[in-house]
Amino acid sequence: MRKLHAVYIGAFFFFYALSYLPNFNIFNEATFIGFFPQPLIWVLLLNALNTVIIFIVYKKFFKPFAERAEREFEAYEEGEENK
Amino acid sequence: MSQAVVTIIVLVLFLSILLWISNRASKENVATPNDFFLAGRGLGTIVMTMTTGASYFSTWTLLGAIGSHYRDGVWFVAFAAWAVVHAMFIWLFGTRIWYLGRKHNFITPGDMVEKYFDSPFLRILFAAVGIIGLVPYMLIQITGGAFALNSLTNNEIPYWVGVLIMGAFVGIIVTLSGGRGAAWADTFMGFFFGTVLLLITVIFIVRAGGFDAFKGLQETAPQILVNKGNFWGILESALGLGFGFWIMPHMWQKFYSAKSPLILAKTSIITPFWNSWLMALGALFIGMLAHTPGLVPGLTVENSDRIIPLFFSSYAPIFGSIVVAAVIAAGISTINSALLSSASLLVNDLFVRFVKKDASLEKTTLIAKATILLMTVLIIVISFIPAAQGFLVPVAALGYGIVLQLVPAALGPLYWKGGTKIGAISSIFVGLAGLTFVYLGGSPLPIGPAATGLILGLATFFLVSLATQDRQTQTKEQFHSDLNRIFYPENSR
Repeated sequence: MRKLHAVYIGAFFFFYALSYLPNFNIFNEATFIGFFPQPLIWVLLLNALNTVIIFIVYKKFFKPFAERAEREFEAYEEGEENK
Repeated sequence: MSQAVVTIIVLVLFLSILLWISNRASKENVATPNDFFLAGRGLGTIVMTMTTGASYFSTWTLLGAIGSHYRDGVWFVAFAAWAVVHAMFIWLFGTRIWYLGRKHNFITPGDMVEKYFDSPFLRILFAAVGIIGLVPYMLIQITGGAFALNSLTNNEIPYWVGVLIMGAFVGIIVTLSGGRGAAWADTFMGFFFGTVLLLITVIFIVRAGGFDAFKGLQETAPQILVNKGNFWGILESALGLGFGFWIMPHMWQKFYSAKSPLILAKTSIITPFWNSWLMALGALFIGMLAHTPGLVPGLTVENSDRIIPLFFSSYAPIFGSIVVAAVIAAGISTINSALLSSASLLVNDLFVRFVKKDASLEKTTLIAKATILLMTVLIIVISFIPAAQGFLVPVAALGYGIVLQLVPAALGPLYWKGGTKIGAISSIFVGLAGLTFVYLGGSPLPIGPAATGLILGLATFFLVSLATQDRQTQTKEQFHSDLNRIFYPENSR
């Protein structure tokens, strides 16, 4: 699970790093793809990919963590009340 | 009816709603620092999402980011990219801050670092750097709002009147309502300025030629359709404004305020849409399309941080008043949290911790309110200094850049148990020294002040920690054992 987590986080930051390619003149031509200039559409595409990864991280890691943490604090608070 | 009168009527209406919300919130307040600063750690999903977004986005978004897109075009689209990273930061940092905060009842970032490193001095450092970093950020909310009022009314409402309106109102509502009122008001203001930004974006797209709006810029402003390079320049803003989402004290304390981690989880999946797809891209569309000939009369590079008020002062003054109210909403929704946070750092981390340890909860809350009023006066005074009235994004980035130097030390309690007290302290000093030298004297390298400081700080934290040892390690072991157990339960079975 820890390795899978690292893969998703690694992929997320890899895509984020790729969004800087136009700063190095890669995917930075003055042409249009659809309605937008190339460097803009490139970043939007990577943003869309990273938005999807956020949802995957939520489902696979964030929500299970949240449920575990809530159980832990509920148990702790019940213990405090029973003292 | 003159533009100034219309604007004043709209503002009075808008500020009355805020006052009503703050008054309602104040009735639920309990006189404890936990309740006053962190809204009793009871924020739900909608309020949490709106208050983190509204506290982060401010006049630099509704005015400054639009101006940056006008000046630099597609180069500034990095803002939309780092705004998605915010959602990941909620998972990577927000959860750990929430968990440790709840477990140990922390109120400020300084509470955590003092306990973890067993170092009162680190608490002082975190408080001092946090306050210094928050000042420029609070400042641009006041100056940005005042400039917007001034532009919309064609100088009928002078800059100094705008400063006093913003300052007085913020001071009153934050003192009155505390963290709960700030969060409730943020929710109202966030919806308000988010909706207004969406509407303005649609208006600009339609007026600039609809789907072919960007193609229309090929003749008038072809330079903004390609990225101008300058990687280190944008990295400087991306680091400060990206990491600022969790390391700035007012944002850090938002994570403490969440009712449960599930609230943070839900906030993380809404964040890309709110922070990036709406706010950042809205600013991009408006700023770039402002180059469309005749769309924004009187627009120049110098006044490009005021595109929205300029546009509406020409076409629809009444709607323009609502827009300026939205700009002011964006400013107030940020400065309220920043003011609260700076007061909590002064009162909790310095006064109660070192001067008057036996202060009652009621007295502490009272002192916090007085501190908020004093901080408000200080910000108002600074906003009259000409040097404080520059472009909004660079001033905001400076504030974020200063607090960014706390990141290496914060990685200790959150991630790296190898980090030592001496490593943490030296990383902050080296980071700030690097930032100051490059900011004042320039650098032979292309790297900016904040990035230089962060790189040096990280290296210092790592190397000094390897070379030194902490005497007290029990608390550190406990922190990381708790985090490992809750984040990776399969490893602790």
